[in-house]
Amino acid sequence: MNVGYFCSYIPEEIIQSCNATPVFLSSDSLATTQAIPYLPTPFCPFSKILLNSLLAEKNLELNFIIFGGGCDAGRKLYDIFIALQPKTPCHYLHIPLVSNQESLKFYRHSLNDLANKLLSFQGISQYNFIENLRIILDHSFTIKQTRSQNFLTGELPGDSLLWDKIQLQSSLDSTISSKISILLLASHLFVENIIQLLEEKEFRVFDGSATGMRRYIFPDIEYTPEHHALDTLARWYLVNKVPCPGYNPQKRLEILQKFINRVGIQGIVYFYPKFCDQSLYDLSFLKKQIKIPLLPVEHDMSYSSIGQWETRIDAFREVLLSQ
Amino acid sequence: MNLKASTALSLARFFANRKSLFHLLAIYEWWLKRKFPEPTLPQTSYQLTIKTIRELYSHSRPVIWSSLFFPCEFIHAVGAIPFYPEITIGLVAALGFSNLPLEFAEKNWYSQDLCSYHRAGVGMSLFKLFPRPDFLLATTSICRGTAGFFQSLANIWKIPCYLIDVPYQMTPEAINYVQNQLSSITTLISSQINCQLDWEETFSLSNATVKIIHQIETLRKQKSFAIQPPTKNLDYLPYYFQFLGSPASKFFFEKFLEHLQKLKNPSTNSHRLIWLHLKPFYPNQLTALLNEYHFDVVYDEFASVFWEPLEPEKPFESLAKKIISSQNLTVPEKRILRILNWCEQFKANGVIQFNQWGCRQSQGMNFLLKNTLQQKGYPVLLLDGDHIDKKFYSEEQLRTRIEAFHEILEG
Repeated sequence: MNVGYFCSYIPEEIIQSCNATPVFLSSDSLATTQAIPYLPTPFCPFSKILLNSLLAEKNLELNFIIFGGGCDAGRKLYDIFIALQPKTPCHYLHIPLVSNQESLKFYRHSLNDLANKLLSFQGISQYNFIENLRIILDHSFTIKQTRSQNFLTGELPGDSLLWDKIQLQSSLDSTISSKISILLLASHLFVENIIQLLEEKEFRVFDGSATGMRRYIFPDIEYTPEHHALDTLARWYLVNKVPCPGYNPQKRLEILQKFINRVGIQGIVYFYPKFCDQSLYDLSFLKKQIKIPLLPVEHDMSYSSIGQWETRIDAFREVLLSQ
Repeated sequence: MNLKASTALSLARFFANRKSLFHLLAIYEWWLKRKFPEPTLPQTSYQLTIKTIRELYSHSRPVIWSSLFFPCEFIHAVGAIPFYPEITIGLVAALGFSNLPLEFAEKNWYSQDLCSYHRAGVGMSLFKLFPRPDFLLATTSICRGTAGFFQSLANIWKIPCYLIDVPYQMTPEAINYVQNQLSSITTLISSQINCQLDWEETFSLSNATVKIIHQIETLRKQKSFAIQPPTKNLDYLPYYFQFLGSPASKFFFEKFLEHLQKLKNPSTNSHRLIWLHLKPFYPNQLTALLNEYHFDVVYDEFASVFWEPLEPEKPFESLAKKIISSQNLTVPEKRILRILNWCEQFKANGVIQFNQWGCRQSQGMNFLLKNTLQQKGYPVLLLDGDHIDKKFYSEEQLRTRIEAFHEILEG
């Protein structure tokens, strides 16, 4: 069974433990034609692209879709989709916007509900699910911990996270010292292209996007096999993961600040989708709190502004070089 | 900013920061009471506004800011003064003063694509023109942009923001989750201010006020009845939210009911409409256009009672249920069902929603809303614009859309 999901707060370990295959949803096509009648103009571009892809592409071969997220767009995407495709099995996972003991307990309860729904599809017992989850957590912990340590020490630049590369790049690239290290903050869209563009401009890029750092990096991750597996999973994703914009802004700032100081990041390129409230508030917050230059670049659904982006990135490079 | 605006702003900031000056308003209040011993509805509203300004700016008790769907009964019960920035921004816009805070927020990296209620609230806080808060309380119900707004306020005012995370469904676990969050917040507040929680009186006042609101609704259900001018009821939002659970709200609605009962020939218009979401608060031609095309607003979504009576013996559970019930305004199947019921009960001919540019939750539902209501035979008019930011207002476009809707209803 293929289970689609797109929010980085949805643990893929849950899906795997139900003997299903997690499919992280991101569309290659930027088309929105089929979504336009259903969503208004001032609305998240990623939601439009995703809805279009879910409605138009019949070859996604998804048996189940998990929606979730802390934004209104994510919720409305789910509302529209179930109204249009009532026969497609799906689930909305509530992601708490706060991180405390109460929210952790509720998130764990929500994860349990999700697991039960998936288990009923797969005909697997709760006992087997927990056993599977324990094995997966053992394995997942090592990967998450190693990858997080490597990334946070600056050893996984470029698109390493995007393609889940395990090879450390610091020792391979002899031109590193001449490059300007920057952190790319972005959502799901255009990440690969933007990394490529920035690398062409002689930047050493660290991927802080929804498909990179926000999805894969778990600073201070801990694992006690004696604890209940769902408790562990809830803690990893709600407490230990790098927070997305809108979730725990203070903790997000602390992690970014620590990373910036440790790796010697000289600037931030904030590539954000138009009409994304989470990113817009995050941008205003970081702009005031972070003391290194920050370049905000807004995008909609198209790649047509690339010329403009390039000009701004060139100018930003000059600013950084002059410092 | 020109010199005149800058001087006015400096003066406003000077006065806003001098608590003692606001105590003098008590003399004016005393004079008003003497001059109008039997105040009319507008006089009542005016007197309550002056009293609230004095209390808020003189800081006679702790001031708690909260988001629209945080139940104010909680704030009244702890003995603090509630302040709802999203409501007050409507007043700022009505006074024609919203451009300055909006522009200032934009200069401070708050994009014009964000909700203008929030953006202007940020601007007014950056200017330090709003009364200084002691606590910030918000819920994530209805609109999750509220979380970003209140987190921004926390950074501006340098105080913590207590955010209540609200699930979409009313399940026992969800009630327990919200009630535990409320309980933790109460402990935090009690440790900082000396408060005696008075649930009994506050809940009793709130429930009694709701009964009066229901009496007003009964009046509005009569075919020949409508509050004039159309959308006027939305100007009374503070009494539905900020003052609910206080004697002020009960007193106001008693006066309002009395006022409505005395009206002779309250409606001559021919089309009865349900009004969804809020309305533009800056000076505009909307009311004139609604009257010109004979539209009455017979019910307003944001003035609806969406919760069950509050129970003082189970205060946190009761308030938790009220908070989660506010999701009735954003979960499509629940919201649409409520609107259909109103259409039937209030004998409405159609539905109007004035879209708010930065409001994802309401606009994201437009397709489902329009589609379902039209299938049930109720025409829907979705007007595009902004409630606070006049930049998005176009009178000609408004006229054209209302005219076209009028033709549909006439047809």
